Amino acid sequence: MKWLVLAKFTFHEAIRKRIVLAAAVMTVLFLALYALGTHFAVRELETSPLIVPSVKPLLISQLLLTGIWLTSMAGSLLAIFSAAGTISGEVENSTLHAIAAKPVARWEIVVGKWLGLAGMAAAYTAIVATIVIGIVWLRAGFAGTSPLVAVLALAMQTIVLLSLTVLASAWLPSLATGIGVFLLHAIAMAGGVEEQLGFILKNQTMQDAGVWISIAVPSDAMEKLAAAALQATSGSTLPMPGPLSVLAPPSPWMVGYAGLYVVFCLLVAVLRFEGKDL
Amino acid sequence: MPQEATTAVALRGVRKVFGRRVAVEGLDLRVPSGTVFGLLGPNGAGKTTCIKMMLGLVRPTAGSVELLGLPSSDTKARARVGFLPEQFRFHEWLTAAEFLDLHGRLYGMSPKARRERIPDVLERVGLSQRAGSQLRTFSKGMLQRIGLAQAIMNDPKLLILDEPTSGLDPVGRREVRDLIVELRAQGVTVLLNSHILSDIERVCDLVAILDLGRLVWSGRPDDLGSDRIVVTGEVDQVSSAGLEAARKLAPDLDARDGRMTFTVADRDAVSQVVWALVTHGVRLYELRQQRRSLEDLFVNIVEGRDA
Repeated sequence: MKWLVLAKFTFHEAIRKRIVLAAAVMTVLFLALYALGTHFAVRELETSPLIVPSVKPLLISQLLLTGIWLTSMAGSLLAIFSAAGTISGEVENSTLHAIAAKPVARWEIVVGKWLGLAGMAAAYTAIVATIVIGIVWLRAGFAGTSPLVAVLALAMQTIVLLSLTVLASAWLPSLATGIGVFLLHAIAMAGGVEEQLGFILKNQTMQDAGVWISIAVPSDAMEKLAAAALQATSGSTLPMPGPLSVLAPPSPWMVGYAGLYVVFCLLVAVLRFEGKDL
Repeated sequence: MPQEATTAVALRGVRKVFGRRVAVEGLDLRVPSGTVFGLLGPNGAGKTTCIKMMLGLVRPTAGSVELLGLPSSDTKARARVGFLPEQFRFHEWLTAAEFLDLHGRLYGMSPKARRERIPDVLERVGLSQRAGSQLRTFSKGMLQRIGLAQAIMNDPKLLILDEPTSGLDPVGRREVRDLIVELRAQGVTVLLNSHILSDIERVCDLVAILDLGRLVWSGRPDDLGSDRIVVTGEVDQVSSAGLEAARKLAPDLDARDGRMTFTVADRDAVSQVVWALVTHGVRLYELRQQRRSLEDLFVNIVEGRDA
């Protein structure tokens, strides 16, 4: 059970890192501003004679999706940059030598570190997403169709990115890992936009390209699942359109695929670390 | 077949290659149990690679490494091993007691064993008063001590110390040497890698010198004086004939400005050289025999002067 010792230690260490402290401060600021913005936006929607009542659910939904997208970005950045040095960085600065020289299996080190960081990053994302949903629900009485699914999908997105970062960290130095995984996530987001545009333009090639990118890096697909669970519907099965709306939501099977993806990343990271000279 | 119980560490035909660079080549090394074993060598000699292979941190390209009778890749072998890495970095947000508790957990020690052991090891490294202090408030010397404390946390049978006196003042260095001697008295095997040759000479029972990944000398520090004797003296009226006769016995003899030095294998050879000089008219005013130090041997090996 040394992996559990390392998981607890990594969790405590992670919440003491400056990046997490900085993220916590910025998150409090973001949530305060978001609550304030939501308050005034909803008041305007309720009182303004210029806004057609049927558009109000769309606007409130977009307000919520904006908060969720920002939460997704913050959780993604936190996952990537808190884990970027988890293997290579600790080998470079020799922190890992005293630990790996103990009667601890290599796989326990990787799994323990992954679990500690995943716990911290997923908890952060889930808490912030819940607060964002709560703010809109308290002020506008709207929380999408499946807020729990949305929170879990966002937490899964964080775990996917974290796993990819741990995998990259078994090969690359800290900085290269952080930048590399962030760019992969950016490509996944671009793929998500391409898929949505392909749906609007009825272009199958664009949609297929988006799907393949989601298979390669399923992080954005999780954000799309969360958004789909939170957007307003207008009485039909199709959501009302908006800049952050999801017209072609990913298949629910993507969650299962993302789970397998995480296991695969972890397995390859373990195999790589098993043979690595420290 | 596991190595016999009297051997703490055994390396057999060990080779390690990083890319195209050969770090260790054909190394056979045996560290007997209950000894303090010094590992010496210039930078890049392969000492740290050897230590890492012993601990399973680096996998040998060829050969086998056994630790307390088990393959070094077996995690059980490391349960009774303590290790202080060179340039040890710490989790500085932990207090000294929390830090030791973490390492105790990684050794698989029970909560009761950890509670009892932590004050004991803090006492042994002189940090009892700082148990509740965060490591970020520690000086370099104190960090080295807490590193030593984690290495002895599990009451090890084998203690591997990579530059343990680095960063310590003379008093701290002496305390570490005393601790090593004390551990040896308790039957602990200590493998010491240090650049401070006087530390090695003072505490080690056996010494191995590595150079370019190969074992170039091993033995007892006391044996150093028995194979070569360095002689210095004050001389006058040095003749070419005297020098020629003496250099047949001591080829490195050098005499200038009234000073003379030469190296011979034994005490009989000293008198033969002196006789050769005196019979050729050289006046001899003073003669001193010096035991060759570990430093002399080390420098000679590194500079490739030893034949």
